[in-house]
Amino acid sequence: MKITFPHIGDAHLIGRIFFTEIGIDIITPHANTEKGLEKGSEVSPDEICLPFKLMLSNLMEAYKLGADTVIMPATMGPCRLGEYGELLKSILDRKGYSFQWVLLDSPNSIGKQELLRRLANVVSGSNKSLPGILTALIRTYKIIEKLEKLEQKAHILAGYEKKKGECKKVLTSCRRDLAQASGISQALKIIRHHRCQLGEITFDFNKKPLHILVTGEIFSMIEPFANHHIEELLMDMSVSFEKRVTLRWWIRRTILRSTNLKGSINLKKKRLPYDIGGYAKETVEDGELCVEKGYDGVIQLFPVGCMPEIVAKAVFSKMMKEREVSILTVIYDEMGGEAGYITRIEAFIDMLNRRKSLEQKKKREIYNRKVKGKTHVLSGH
Amino acid sequence: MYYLGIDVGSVSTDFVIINKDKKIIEQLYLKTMGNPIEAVQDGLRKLGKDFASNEISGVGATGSGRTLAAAVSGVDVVKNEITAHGVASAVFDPDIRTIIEIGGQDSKIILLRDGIITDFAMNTVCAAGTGSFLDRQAERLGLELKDLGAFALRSENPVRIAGRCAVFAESDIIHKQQLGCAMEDIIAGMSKALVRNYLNNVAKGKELLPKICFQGGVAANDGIRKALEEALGTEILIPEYHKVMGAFGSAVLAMELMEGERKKTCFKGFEVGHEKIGTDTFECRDCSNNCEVVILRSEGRQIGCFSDRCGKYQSAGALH
Repeated sequence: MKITFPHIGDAHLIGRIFFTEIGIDIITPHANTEKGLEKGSEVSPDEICLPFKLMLSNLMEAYKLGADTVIMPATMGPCRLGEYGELLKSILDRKGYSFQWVLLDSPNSIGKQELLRRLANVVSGSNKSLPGILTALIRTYKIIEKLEKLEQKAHILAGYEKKKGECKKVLTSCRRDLAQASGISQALKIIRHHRCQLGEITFDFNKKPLHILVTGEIFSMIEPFANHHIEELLMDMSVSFEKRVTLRWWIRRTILRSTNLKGSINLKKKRLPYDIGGYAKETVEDGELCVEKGYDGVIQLFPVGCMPEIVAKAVFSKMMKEREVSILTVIYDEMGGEAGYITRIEAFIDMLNRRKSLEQKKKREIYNRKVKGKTHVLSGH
Repeated sequence: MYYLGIDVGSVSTDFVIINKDKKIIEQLYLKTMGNPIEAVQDGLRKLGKDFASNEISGVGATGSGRTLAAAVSGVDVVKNEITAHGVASAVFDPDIRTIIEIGGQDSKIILLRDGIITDFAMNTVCAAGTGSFLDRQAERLGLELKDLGAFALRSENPVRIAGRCAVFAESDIIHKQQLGCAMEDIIAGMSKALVRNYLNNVAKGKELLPKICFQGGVAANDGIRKALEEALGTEILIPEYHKVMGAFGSAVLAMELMEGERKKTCFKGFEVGHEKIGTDTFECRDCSNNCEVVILRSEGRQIGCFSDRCGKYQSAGALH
């Protein structure tokens, strides 16, 4: 049995480490490229969302590389994503890709028994005992946790670097090493090593970089190809940014939801009280957070045609009229050229920077007038 | 002490030279003709006749080809079009609160409050209503682009053209022609459709407060201006140098930066216009990104490199 699954952010790194640890072969398709997207688009319905086309191309490639089993965490989805598994299967079956499919739907829709049966099916080829597999699973979760903490730290520190690009370098090198890691222990070591490296960088904490919240549709936020590498772009612009929606967040949420435990995220929902699918509620919450926690702005990302995010965007327009908040919506489309995205994001960052420096100037003037006013004569001005 | 601004757009490449008082001394509006490197060099050659390289104390570049312009001529500040246009209008008239900018390939709306950009939007998927669409229609109707405005103003009874999409607009224009509608009425109808498209797409949900300033190449078209005025019910200001506002803005940005930091300009001089500049393009196979790398060479020496995600082809000091 050779397992594969579609790309989403760093999931392929982590998945490879886990399955290698428990002795199951895994095939990782190449990273997403324009060419791959073209191939995926050829066989996909034209109107379907961008993530679907990318996933389809990943699976087609994995098949060529020898994969025979697909694991698809479909989760009986929050939006169209929930139907991805079935649709991918029917398209690929028709095209003659004879995969074996393991659809990991949420227990709410297929029942706990069925989910366990499917999971058992996945690990049936493992050379480890059940406790061994569970331990590996828990330790893999730890990898995700540590890796995301490292990323989060690097994203925030990127605004304070003395020499531009160092944080980005640490993350790139960490990912490169993880792709070669032989097992969980080594992976954890690699992450620890890079955390130390991050600590060795010199920062200038007197700087006042922009603090931005990145939010939006989950796939566009996690998969760098789908957002034209916005994280690297922001780091290059020396912006400190955060994002709440990550792989770990999604795993926690999915498990908590299906075990009927309340998630930790439970803000007051004034603006979008009903679940409308996708993660629109979370996006709107991020907008609220931006105001409450004093971020400089929000960037909302989503692929063209993503209904829940379109609704969130409408909420944002209203929010922008009522309160002092800046939100940029970037809609990714396979037809769109990269230059347009960069221009928009650059212009947004510029706008926030200019406004921030003006505010600081004003504050300084007030300060000078009130506090330093009397010392003018002494200092000879 | 002069400052140079370069705006490399899809249709035109513009140059502006300003003095210390932010007054325009010289302006050039050249067609890019799909060859931005040549356009930049051409402009530098022309300006080189009247100005000496050491008179230039700072250079700014903007437009979709800004990084290219930066690599060719050496500039101090590279900024996007939105910031450049916003700055230009704020200098031109501090009371401007809305900027409508329609260029060759894109249209934008920029909202200013007290001279600071507070919001903006750009056209997303459709190029209907931009300069290249008008260019094409003028050609199809057998007219000069500059005559379109005059035709539209002569119309008394504009026909309704579907303007949601450039392709549909075109087929609707053909349909109206075949019905025998007058040319004036069709062109006026087209102008109205484009304005409707702009207001519904680009300016959707935005508060357009006066003074409204209309700039970019399309602002030269009186028909579009009139249609905009009718739709918005207010007078629209068109700056004298509306075609080169981006270049003007980047010159102002260069001036602000250079005066603040008091450093030496990176400008390579007008002589660059006479150098032989060429590009090499290849697909890098070293990792799964498969970047299409472009290397810019002048007289065999690498002066710039684009699209390499990892940055390994960037030689030190090639840019900036």
